Amino acid sequence: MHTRVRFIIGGLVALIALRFGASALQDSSADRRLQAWIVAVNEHVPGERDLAVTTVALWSRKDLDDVLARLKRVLDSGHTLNNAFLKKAARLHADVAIAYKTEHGYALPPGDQPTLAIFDGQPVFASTGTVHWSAGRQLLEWIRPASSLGQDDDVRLWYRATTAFLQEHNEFYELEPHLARALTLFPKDAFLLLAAGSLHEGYAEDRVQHAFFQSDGTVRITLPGRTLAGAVATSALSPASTRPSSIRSASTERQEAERLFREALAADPSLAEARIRLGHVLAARQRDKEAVLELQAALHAPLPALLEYYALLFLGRSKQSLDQREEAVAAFEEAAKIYPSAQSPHLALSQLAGDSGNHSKALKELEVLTQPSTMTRDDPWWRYNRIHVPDAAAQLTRLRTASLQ
Amino acid sequence: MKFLAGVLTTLSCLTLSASRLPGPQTPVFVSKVDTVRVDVMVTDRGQPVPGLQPKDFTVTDAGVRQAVDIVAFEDAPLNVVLALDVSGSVQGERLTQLREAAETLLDRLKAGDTVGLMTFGSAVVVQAAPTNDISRVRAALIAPGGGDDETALVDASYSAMALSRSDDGRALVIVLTDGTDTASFLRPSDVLDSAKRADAVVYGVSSTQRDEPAFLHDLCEFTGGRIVREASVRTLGQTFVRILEEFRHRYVLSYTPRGVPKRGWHPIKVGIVGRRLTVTARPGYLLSQ
Repeated sequence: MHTRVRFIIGGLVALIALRFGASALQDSSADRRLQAWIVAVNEHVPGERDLAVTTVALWSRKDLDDVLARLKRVLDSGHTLNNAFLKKAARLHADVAIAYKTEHGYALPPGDQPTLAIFDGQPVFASTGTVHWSAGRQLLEWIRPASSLGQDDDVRLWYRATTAFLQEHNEFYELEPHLARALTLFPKDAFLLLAAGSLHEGYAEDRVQHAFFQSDGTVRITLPGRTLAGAVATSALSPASTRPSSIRSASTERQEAERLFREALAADPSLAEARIRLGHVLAARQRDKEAVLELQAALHAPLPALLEYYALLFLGRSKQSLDQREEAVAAFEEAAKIYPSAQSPHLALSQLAGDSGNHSKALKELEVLTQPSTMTRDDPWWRYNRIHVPDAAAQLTRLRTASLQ
Repeated sequence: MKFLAGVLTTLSCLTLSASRLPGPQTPVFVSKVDTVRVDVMVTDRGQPVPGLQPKDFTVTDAGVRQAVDIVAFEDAPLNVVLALDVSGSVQGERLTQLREAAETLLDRLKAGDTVGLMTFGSAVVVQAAPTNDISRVRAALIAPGGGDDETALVDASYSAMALSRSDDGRALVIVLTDGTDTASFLRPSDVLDSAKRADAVVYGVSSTQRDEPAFLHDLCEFTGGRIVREASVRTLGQTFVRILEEFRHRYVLSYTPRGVPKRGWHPIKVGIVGRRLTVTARPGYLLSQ
């Protein structure tokens, strides 16, 4: 074990012993847990599913709560913990959560945030996320001086990367407290504002709205099977017509998304993704002329292929709404050049051709549908509600390679 | 008049259309540009009413009475496109039963009918382009792909309508889905407009336990079809056959519109002279120019 690690463990254990007396150290199980946690934090290789990750992942919610409680007692006694150590700890807990993410939740102790998974437009599974996200947030809150937290680039990086991951996996309920805290600390951070806008943009989508609301606007949360229904009944998403407080009507969600995208652009006017998403939201709000202005402005500068594709798709659609057919066709054709096997621009081109009476062209555009495999027919439109540029993987790499201060 | 509803044009040699083999021509379909065709179902207490003649129908287009030129019943070839939702919630045994149901439908097609098969999750996949070589469609049923976790119902419905279009038959689209749209790029309102321009009749088979997708409901209504709720996939084959037979028993009215505006929405009203029968037809069609 490295000298530095031994020093930190020794320091913490000594602190606890000094503060709470010898009896604190005689609680051997809790002490061993704390020591093991400190070792894990220090020996974890960021991004690896190493012994540190697998060890901490096996612990129960109570084990983790005990560790955090003991750390808090140290802090309450007037001592501080090493800031870089706390950041490493937050990074470890993020890596644990990421490593044990499953299709419908986490193979980990639950957290406090109720989660309703939406599968193919249906609410199908209720879980409670994982405590490791809130543990990460909590550890960062112990950085001192507290007033420095909002200026700490490492903390900002942690929130950005983990937010991107949570968004990529549609972890809406975890994202809410996550982004709420992140934006309290970094209210002018363009990426976090973009992510928050995307969250509300996602809430406005049919697949989410349909899962929560009946067509008449009343709340629906029904789950097949007694077990799952029971799980929901015990959560904040009670089927007893309790409206999930976080999700509102599509129009309200789009209004909020627009506000956040505009704030993101105020913070960083060059953030093309925010401008493109703003254009998308404006079009959804039947403000196609404004949408066109935003999308054309975004396209004015060189864009990564993915963003250019989105911008052209949305520009084409708004032009279509404005009855500017030739411009719509041009935009969709440009989008099709970027991702030739993607179906969305070809469907739009087919529709435009068919509606104007050119049925042979309408059929020709549908030839892309004869390619059988979705593996060879990737359409980035299918990932629009999840992905950012740079994506979560790139942002996590930045977090994991950062030299924490 | 540039016609979009019921305009019968010849398809050029395309990959998607090349598989269509010429079916027996029926005298009821005449390729002329200014013709509107309307599929009409006439029932008496739920049972189709055969034997009606042109003089038995009244048709108004934008409020103007039209002369019904042609009436077809039963013998016109069908262009059927079956669009199956194979998204995440349609897997395993359910998918097997879906295949069997589609087989049942194929068994009931007649010589001259064409059939195409599409599946959709996020991706819309043409498993078999419309053809009267039923064996090709059967082969495509063995391992239909395209399923994933989402449902591009709107994209698929548009594609099915476009594929069903042909110059020598009546277009029937059957869309089976168990959920709401979660992945389409095309907007429902745009596809409904396309439906108003097309001559396909769409039947939606909704197997969801919850309220059926509003889009599918509207699409069926605008095309003169209807929604069929199917609680069990085990009886799906019978449902497909029922739809097919119902569609065969529909009349095709054809008229050359006179005294009507050249563009915009044309409401159509179809009635029966002197009898209290139930008439189901599309409520109108849309002309762009």
